[in-house]
Order: sequence, then structure tokens, then C-alpha cells
Amino acid sequence: MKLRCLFLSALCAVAVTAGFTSCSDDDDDWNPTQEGSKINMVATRAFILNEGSYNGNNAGITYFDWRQDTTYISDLYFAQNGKNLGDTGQDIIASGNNIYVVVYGSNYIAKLNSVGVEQARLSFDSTVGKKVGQPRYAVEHNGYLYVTCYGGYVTKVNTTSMVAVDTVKVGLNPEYIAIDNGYIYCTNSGWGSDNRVARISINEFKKAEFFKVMDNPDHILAVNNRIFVQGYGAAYNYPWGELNTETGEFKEIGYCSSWAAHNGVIYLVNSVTDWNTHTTTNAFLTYDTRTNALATWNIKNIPAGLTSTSVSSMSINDKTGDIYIMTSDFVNNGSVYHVKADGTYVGNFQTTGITPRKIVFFD
Amino acid sequence: MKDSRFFILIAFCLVALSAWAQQSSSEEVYLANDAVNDSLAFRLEQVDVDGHKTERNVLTMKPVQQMQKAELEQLGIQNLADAVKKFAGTNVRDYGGIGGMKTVSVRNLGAHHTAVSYDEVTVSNTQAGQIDIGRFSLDNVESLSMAIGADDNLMQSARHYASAGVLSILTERPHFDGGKNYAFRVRLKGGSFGLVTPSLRYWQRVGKRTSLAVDGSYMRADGTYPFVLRNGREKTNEKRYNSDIYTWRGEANLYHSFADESQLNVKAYWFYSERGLPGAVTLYNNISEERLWDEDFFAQAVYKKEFNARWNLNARLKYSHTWNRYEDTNVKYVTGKQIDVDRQNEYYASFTLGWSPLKHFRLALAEDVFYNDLRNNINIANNPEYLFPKRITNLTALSAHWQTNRLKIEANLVGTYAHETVENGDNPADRHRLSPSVSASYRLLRNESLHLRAMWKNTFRMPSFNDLYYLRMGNTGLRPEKATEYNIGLTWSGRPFRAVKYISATVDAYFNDVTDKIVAFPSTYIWKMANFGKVKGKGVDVTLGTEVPICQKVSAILTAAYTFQETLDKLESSPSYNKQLPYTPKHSGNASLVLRNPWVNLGYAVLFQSERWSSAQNTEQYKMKAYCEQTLTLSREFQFRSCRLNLSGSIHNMFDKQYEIVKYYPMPGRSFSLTGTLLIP
Repeated sequence: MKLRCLFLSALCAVAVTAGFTSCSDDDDDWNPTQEGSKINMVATRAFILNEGSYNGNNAGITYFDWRQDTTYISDLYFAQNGKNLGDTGQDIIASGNNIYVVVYGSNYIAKLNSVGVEQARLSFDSTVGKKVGQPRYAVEHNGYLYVTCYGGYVTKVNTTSMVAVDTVKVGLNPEYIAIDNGYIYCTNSGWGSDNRVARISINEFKKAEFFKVMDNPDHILAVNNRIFVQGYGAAYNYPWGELNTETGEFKEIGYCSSWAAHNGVIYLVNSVTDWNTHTTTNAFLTYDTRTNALATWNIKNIPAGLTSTSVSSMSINDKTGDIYIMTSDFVNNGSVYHVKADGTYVGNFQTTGITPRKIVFFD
Repeated sequence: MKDSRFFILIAFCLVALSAWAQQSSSEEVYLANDAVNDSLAFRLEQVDVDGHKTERNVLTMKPVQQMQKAELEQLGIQNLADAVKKFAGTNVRDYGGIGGMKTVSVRNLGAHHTAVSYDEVTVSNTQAGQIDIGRFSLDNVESLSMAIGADDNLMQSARHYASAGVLSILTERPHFDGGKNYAFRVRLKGGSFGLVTPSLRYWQRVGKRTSLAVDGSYMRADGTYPFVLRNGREKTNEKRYNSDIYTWRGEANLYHSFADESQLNVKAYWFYSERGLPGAVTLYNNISEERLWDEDFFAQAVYKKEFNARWNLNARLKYSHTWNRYEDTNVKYVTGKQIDVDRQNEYYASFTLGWSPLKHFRLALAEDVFYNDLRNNINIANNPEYLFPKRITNLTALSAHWQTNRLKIEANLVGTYAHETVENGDNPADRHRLSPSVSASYRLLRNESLHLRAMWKNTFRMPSFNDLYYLRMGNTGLRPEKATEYNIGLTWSGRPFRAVKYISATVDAYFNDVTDKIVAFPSTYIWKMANFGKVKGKGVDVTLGTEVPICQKVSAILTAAYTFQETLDKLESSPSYNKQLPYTPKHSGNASLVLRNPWVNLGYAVLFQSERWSSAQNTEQYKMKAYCEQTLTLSREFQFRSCRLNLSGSIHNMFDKQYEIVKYYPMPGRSFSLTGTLLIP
């Protein structure tokens, strides 16, 4: 039944995409079937990683055309590979012509090509002879993935062979990871027992040094050679601020639960739930790293769903600077709200999975 | 509005049906004159009646389904959860395997609303709020009953009155045959997946009025059962690892009848287990290193006295201690292991005083007081604000029962008061509530056991200690979760044809709603327990039973149960508004056939569930396939002088149906079991 549904979806996708692929100027020389795609696709494609629900084995990838905000298929990974992605889609990154998907519960990283066909995978059962723990987040640099692993490691993975080549011990339960100026930075949450950011030299990849930030740090961003860190905080009020890696000093700037950066501007949202009224309210802000100005991010004609549903993540299309704000009720399929950098609200569409986490864009 | 229309329509149909039934004649006059109370039932047992005793469920004001020891054995039922699945209107959440957790919910109100009683005294778990019925053995069970609403017995405890449903387990009392003062039973059970269960039972008469019963059992199983994992186009044969279980269970009972005919039963019970928790099947990652140790001990006493024809008393005392240790080995933990240890105590005292001021009128006052505490290491390490919650609860139930030849009415009011303290932090506010209920049954025909029954019951469940205090998720501001049950039913038992010994049938339509439902309310990072959900359910339960004598000493006993249920999320702001709750099949049921004969008894049971969803998203992706599971059992008893040997063998899930009750918790496929029981004398 499911296969039949997918097949019909694929047919619809083919029919719909056939209608406007001819209108595209960019994809005349791009043929997805050459990359092994089983479905027709547009060149201006984007992939949303849906986390799924705990123990649900329902992580998946939504494919949409970022020019049209049109989704085509319920799960691209399933359509291209004939099997499910697994449990808890944690991170997705695009590098060159490849996509790397970190699947936390299923304990592996998949290397996909740019249409979502799996090329290789690395399971983290016993990587480089150590139990490094399940993978969380990844960055790519010069042919290597650097992956935070819950056993307290950053693992270096060769992207060609998808083999782990080295690992460095960091703090407890490392989460997000970023690269800046020859260094890898990752937060160490310890689920509240750690409060540090670890820094590893990419060239040496031997030892981590640590900077104290807030309790339970989570996100990390490298913007214009500056490091910004967000976390739960001791009071679980999601503080964020800047880590001065020269002095080791962390300066708190405000509160946010999710963010994304582009062209030196950090777009922030703080989703706060009032436990008396059981309502969630989202506050939107921008922080210009060039001027250090924190300002209200005024989204024009903002729809009610975007102000009152938890924001699970934000992603920015580097090609356009447009921001995609993803919301989730953690039970039903999530929504994506498309906003331009100037605050113009473009529209919204539903993802095909629970809790959208991140979008990667191709053209 | 729509729901009430549905209810009125069902009521109309039932009344019309009963009117039709009035036209039919009956050849049988039933002796079971609506036994309602203990004492009357006791007197009836001494009458030698040649005929079929009317099914209890036909006579009660509320649906009360029962299974006796013989049926359990003849159908090869392995555990309590499998037995409960045979009751209409129950939903058993079964995580599969011998050690997998199994909880029971009545008409989808939630497992927290179901009380479980063991020899008339409630079993409690204030921490989780629900009882894992998988840990009770069927070895020594005399009868099981599932009362929706509550039982008709006026002399029950206030806790039973306060529950939306009561699952009662009654163990076998000593009985001595052939003038002996002792009885000994040895049982050995073995089966697939390394199951070995030896058990011993010894009964001894000690004087004229006293007897002792001691029994113990051990159970071990690898539990490593195979299953087929379907992942898109891939289909792999897998095994359920880390499913091993070891349990020890022991029980001692003292039964004493005093000279004034009052009765005392004192019980001590001990249970210990170690088991692996295989968890949900995770694609591409079959590592599972969670383990659980449990130790339960309780001692209870039940005293029953009839002062005279008007006054009687039932009193209960209990102390219980439960301990469990959960361990997960994973490098993600600072020490490489997560170890949670919980200890709970309960001190419980209860009495029910019955008074019959008039011939047809009885009153009962039930008073329960219990104290619960919890100590664990989770809150100590991470949440010192809330240490060691303690709760004292007082339940008072006043019941009135009026009965004429054909009409029975019972009204009941339960008052609850709960006071809680924590060693640190703010004490939550006291909780108190009044919960009324009314039920009635009317015998529509003088000479026919045809009854119309109705019930309205208001009940609630207290937030559990986990709901209130669990690390970061707990919410001390929670209110009790409220439930209202409506039931209207038609019951009948008769012998319309000579070819059958009896036919009994019940049809009950119900409607219920749950407000202030306690749910984990989602937030961006930390979820918190909240009174947020609202659920409405309606459905129909049907039960059927008959015995067909085929020839002398050969008869076929058929039973069947069917449930239709629609339980919807009724929270307007929910994206799942009007969607069926997860794991709620619209159609479910079972049927069984026991062929009794002098050679080899045959038992066949079939159980089915229609499609249902594993998520509040009622979409194709989360649809779970319908399934049908069948079990075949052969048994025979041999007599050697004064000893009896009973041998039975079963094929469970004989067509090797691969199914899940909870998504990604596969149930075992075909399995076998053999049981030998030697009874001396």
C-alpha cells in the first residue's frame, strides 16, 4: 500500500515537474537520471531533513523546489533507495555534489549524491577501534567530515571512503560543530553536566582545549571569524552570546532557541512556552555581527502559525539569502515558512515528516 | 451533540430489542436470582442446582467479564495479558516477549484508570501510575474478572469504587480431596525461546479451621525470538536480542475461619526478576543494553465478618515495598552507565461496612487510607528541589443498593482527599474531589434472564509521582485527570434450543470522555506534563457464550467477544483534532472453542485487531496492518490412584503471524509450550 502510494506520488511528481522543468533556464544541462534518480527532479532543489519521532524509525527527507516552494514526494530517501532512513535524523549537510545525513538513533552517517541516492555509509558501532558513541552533528572540510559523537568525541571521516580515520576526545555529549580559522569548535552539553566549548586544531587533530560558556551549551555558529554559542543555560532559558577565543571570555547577548546566519547577520528566534496557558510564543530578532546591533526582526504579514508554534530550526538559502523557518508540534508533520531577508513573508508549506531540522539547497 | 445522538440511538435499539425479546417464551426458569452480594452468593453456593449457572456478566449492573481456571488452562493462555485480551472493551498495550511490559486500559481511558487487585486488595504503583500486568503469574489463579465501572459487590474497597475499571485476580484457595489434610502440586512448563518454569505448591490443613498454602515458581527464558523486519523493499530475518528474563516468585497464605464464621486471609508475596529490555527495533542499529531488576514484596490481610443479617464488615491491611533498578550501558553517559534506582512503599488500611436496614435496601461505607512514598536517585542527582515525595490519600465511598425482584439500582459517591509533601521545595496543593456514580439493571421478563442495564460513572486518576516530579518534565501543578463513563446494555442468558445447554449474550454501548488529560506537552526543548488533553470515546462491546453438548461426556464451549471503538482527540486546538487515538483499532475481538471430551481436550483461540495507527497522524505511513493470531491447545488429565497428572501442549500463534501491538515492538511468531502438572492427592 505504502509502495503504491509512493509510486503514485512519484508519478505525480514526474507529471508536475515535467510541466515546469522546460521553463527552467538553469537545469537544461542537468539530468537527475544520470545521477541514478528514480524520479524526475528540478535543478533548484532543496532537501529538508525531518527528524521523525523517538523510536519511530520515521526520519526522512522532503524534496522541494526552492523557487516554487513545492514539495514533490513524501520521502525522497525512500523513493531513491527503497528503504527508510531510520531513527532520528539529526543533521544534514551538503558539500560539493554530495549530501551527508547524520542519523542519530540508527547510528550512522549516509553519503548521498545530490539527488538522494545513497553512495556509502558509516556506522558508528565501533569506529576507529573505540566506542565513540552515536553521531550528532557534522561539518565538512577539505575532504573530511568532522562528526560529534555522544561518547565525547569528534571523529574525522574520509568523505571518499566513508571510513573514520581519527578521533579526538572532547567534553561530555558534544552537540553542534563549526569550523573557523583552522579550528573545529563544538559545544559539550553533558545534558547539563558540561558547560564548555571544545576547540581542536584541524591540522593537528590531537587534543581539545576548552572554553567555559553557559551550562548545557547546544548550538554554535562561526560568523566572520567570531564564535557564537547558544545553550539551555542553568535556568533553561536558552541564553546565547559570543565566545572570545582570544581571551576565553564568554559574553551573553540574549536568548534564543534557534538561529541561522547569512552575510554577517544572525537571524534568531526564541520560542517560549507559557506553562500556565500552554501557549508558545516566538520572538524574532536579528543580530548584525558587523555593527553588533540586536534588533527586532520584523516579518511582515506574519501568519499565526509562525508566531505560536515551536520553531524547530532555521535554514538559509545562500543563493538567495531567503530564510526558511521550520516549526513543529513534534507529533504531526512540520511546516516551513519562507521569509525574505527584508522580512517579506513569502508563504509556507508542509514538510512530509515530523520535526524538520535543516534544509540543504542545490541549483 | 453527535455523541449523545449516538448514545440515544444505541439506547433506542437496545430497548427495541428488549421489547422484541419479551415476546419470546422461555422454558427455563433461572435460579441465579441476581446474586449481588457476598452473603447471598455464599448461600447460593450451598444449593445443589442441576443446570447452568447464569453468567455473572448477564446479571451485573456493569459489564463484569470473568474467566475461570479451567478455561485459562484449556485455552493454553500463557500470561495474564493474554487472558485480559479476551475481555471485550479492554486494550492491552503489549511490548512483546515474555518480559515485555503489558498494561491494560479499559475502553481507552488509559491504563492509569484501571485498578488491579490481587486477592481483593489493590496493587499500586504510585510512581508510574499504571500496573505492569505481565509480572503476575497465572499459575495459581482461580479466576480473573474485568469490571468496567466497578464490580457489583457492595463490600469492595473504596479504591475499587474510585476506579474506572477493575481487573481482579483471585488465587485458588486450598481444598482437600479424599479426606487428606494436604495437597501438593508440581508443575513444569517449558517452551520456545528457552522458557523453563518449574513451580511447586503445597497446601496443608492445620486444624479444623485453618489451612496454609505455600507456592513458589521460577521462570527463565532467553526470549530471543525471531522476527521479520520489513524496511521498504528490504526484508530481513532478525532476532529479538536482550530479551532474557529470570523471575522468582513466592507466596504464602494463611486461611482461617473463626468460630463466629468470620474469615481471615493473610498473604505474603515476593517477586524478584532480572530482565533485558530490548527496546524498540531501531533500523540499522540493533544494540540494546538496557536491563531492569525488580523486587516486590507485600503482605496483606483480609478479614470478613458477618455480625448478623444486617451488618457485615470487610477489612484489609497491606504493606508493600517495590524496588527497581534500571541500567543502560552506553558511552553517552558520563560513567558509561545510566543507573536509576527507585524504591516505593505503601501502607494501606481499608474497611467496608455493610448495613441492610431494609429487606431490599443495603448501604455500604468504604474507607481507605493509604500512604505512599518514593525515593529514587534521579531527582537526588539532578533535581534536589523535589526529594522524596510522600502522599497520603483518603478515599471514602458511600454506596446504596436497592433491589427488588426485577430491579436493581446502586448509587455511589466517592470522596477523595490527597495530601502531598516533599522534603524540599514547595508542597503541591491538596487535591480533593467528589465522584458520583449510578447504575441500574432491570430484568425485563419475569421468567427470562433478560436484563437492561445502565451506568453513569464519574471517576478520575491522580497524577503519578512521575507526572509530578520527574526530572524537569514533572509538573506539581497538575490536576487529577477526569473521566466520565456512560454505559447501556442488554444482557440475556437462556436455553432457546435443546441442542445447547445455554446461550449467554451481552451487548453494551458506551460513551466516555476524558478531560484534563495528563499529557507530555511539547515545547521546543523541554516537554512538561500538563492537563491538556481531551478525549471522547464511544463504542460497543459484545460478548457471547454457549455450550453445546455433542454427546455424553463430549461438549463444545464457545465464547466470543467483539469491540467496536472510536476514541478521538477532542482538543480543538490540536492538529490531531477528531483523529483516532494511536493504537485504537476500530474493530477487535476474539473467539474460543473448547472441546471437552474423555480423551484429549482441545482448545482453540483466535484474536484479531483491525487496522489502527501508531501515531496521532492517521495517515497511511502510520497505519498498522490488521492481524489475527491463533492458538491451539491439547490437554488431557490422567488419574493414578489418588494422584492426577495433567499434560497440555500448545502452539501459540500457530500460523506464525508477524504482527506488532506497539510499533517496532514485534510480537513473537509461532511458539510452543508444554506443561505437566502433578497433583497429589
